Amino acid sequence: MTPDRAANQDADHEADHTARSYGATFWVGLVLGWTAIAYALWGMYSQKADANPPGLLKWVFGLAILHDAVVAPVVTITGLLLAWILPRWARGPVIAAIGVSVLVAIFSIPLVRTFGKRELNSSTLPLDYGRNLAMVLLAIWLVAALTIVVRALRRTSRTSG
Amino acid sequence: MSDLSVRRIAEGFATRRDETLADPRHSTRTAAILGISLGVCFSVCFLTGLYSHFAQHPPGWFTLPASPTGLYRVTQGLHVATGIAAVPLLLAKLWSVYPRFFQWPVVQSLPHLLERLSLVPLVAGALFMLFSGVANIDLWYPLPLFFPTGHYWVAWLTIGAMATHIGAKLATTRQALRPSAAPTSALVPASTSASMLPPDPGAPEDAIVRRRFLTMVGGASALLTVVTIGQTVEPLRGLALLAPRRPDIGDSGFPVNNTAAEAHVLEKIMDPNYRLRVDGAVPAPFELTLADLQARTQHEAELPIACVEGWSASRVWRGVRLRDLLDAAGAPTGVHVTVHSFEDGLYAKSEINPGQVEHPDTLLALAVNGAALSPDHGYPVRLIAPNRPGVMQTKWLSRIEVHA
Repeated sequence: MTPDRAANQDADHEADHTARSYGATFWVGLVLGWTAIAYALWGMYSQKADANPPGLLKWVFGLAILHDAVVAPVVTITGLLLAWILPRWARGPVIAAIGVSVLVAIFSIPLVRTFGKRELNSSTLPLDYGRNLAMVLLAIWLVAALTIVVRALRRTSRTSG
Repeated sequence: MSDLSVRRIAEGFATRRDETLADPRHSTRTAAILGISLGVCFSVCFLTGLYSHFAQHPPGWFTLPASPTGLYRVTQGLHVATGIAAVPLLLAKLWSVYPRFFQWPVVQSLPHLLERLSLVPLVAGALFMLFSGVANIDLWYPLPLFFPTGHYWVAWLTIGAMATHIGAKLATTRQALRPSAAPTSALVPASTSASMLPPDPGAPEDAIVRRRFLTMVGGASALLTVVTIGQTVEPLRGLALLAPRRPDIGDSGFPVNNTAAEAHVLEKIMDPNYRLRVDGAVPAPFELTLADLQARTQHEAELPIACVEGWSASRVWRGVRLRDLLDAAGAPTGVHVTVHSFEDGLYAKSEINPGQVEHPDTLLALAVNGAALSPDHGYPVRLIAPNRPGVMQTKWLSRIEVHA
């Protein structure tokens, strides 16, 4: 670890220490926050027929478990692998382009698969989303390629200068 | 496996975690910047969502104003656009702070335990709100519940957990965001840096790494906004590549939430004996045929259909003023009105408060953009009034009921 990075880490610990003094702000936030959470739980159970609390809470906490146990580790490991495989000059832009592309692709799944298309309503999901997603992905990779070229040119001009 | 091996693995893991936390993309400064951005987005979503909820289910102290006429269009457009923009921010924030999930010891004190416990509803609620919201605007309903009810109550859960998190992290955030104009850590010993300087010691390469990371996240938010915002900002509709609706596509050139066929009203609205009844607490109730309505003085108003799903389309409507019909029935000013539809279920009727009843743009529309209403847009007559959610612009009217 470089001295700068070590200092960063020390500073982070310092910042965390400040939070752990747990002053009045923490306790006020805790009381207000858990009051709202209790209100939410009361609301769900007071409208049981519509809210279906067991099914709802299964989805709420299921998504968090899916993120923490599957998505985050997979993203972390993939990022490490990519950083290891890719050459230094391409690493940043390519990893960023992959990340944004995956995000946009996942965002588009319900559109591309037309989950919500209704046969009797032509205004629902009216576009060719597969083609449109391809156009957006193309734009993302063009920006990544452009970034690599601009950085290479800057490096060259610095070296020659 | 011996105790020694276990300890070595644990130490190796802890070293790797600490190295990761020293990466500027995982620092408190990055987490603070993303946290503030998310806090703003979630607050906007919560307040605009609350406004939408009150508009549709007004409590006693709340009256939906009649003007500005396009207010709901703005608030609900903002609600959906902000939620979409928050998707990359939330995922980046979770990725940034993920190594802290493995901090050791897991619990250091009772307040620390409460702080960590509060993260569970925060992370779970935030993920649920964005997932369920995006699914809903895409007309996809995988959840085993009625979307508005579930989305509303989990919003309270999430905003409560956010308040707790803000209380716990306010000091950290303020410290992390102090201007980093002070000498960099490269110039002072680490121990001094830790006690005197902000958490971003400002090593130039770290600042670049952080800036690039935040640029990527902001760029992803901007990209999703650009390819969806055209569903409500009509001049940008050509860029709405990933919007579930386009304000210029649909029957008569704009979207329909529910068609006449889907609502099973075709037979009733096409009946040649159609009558619109005006009754309730009035001295002179009466009925009107479509021809009677067409023979009355017609007025025009340019008003938006603004859907709770975030799309909107402004059109010029033509029809009879609601106030004119109430005058004919002898209804005094200041009355509440319920309009009834041929449709059954959730959208079978809607309430109009006195402010909206008296507004000159509140019409019983017979035509839009110069042509008679199509069955899908509410033929023979529909309500169009200022500053109302689209689901409350009731179509296929059968009755106007005046309340005392």
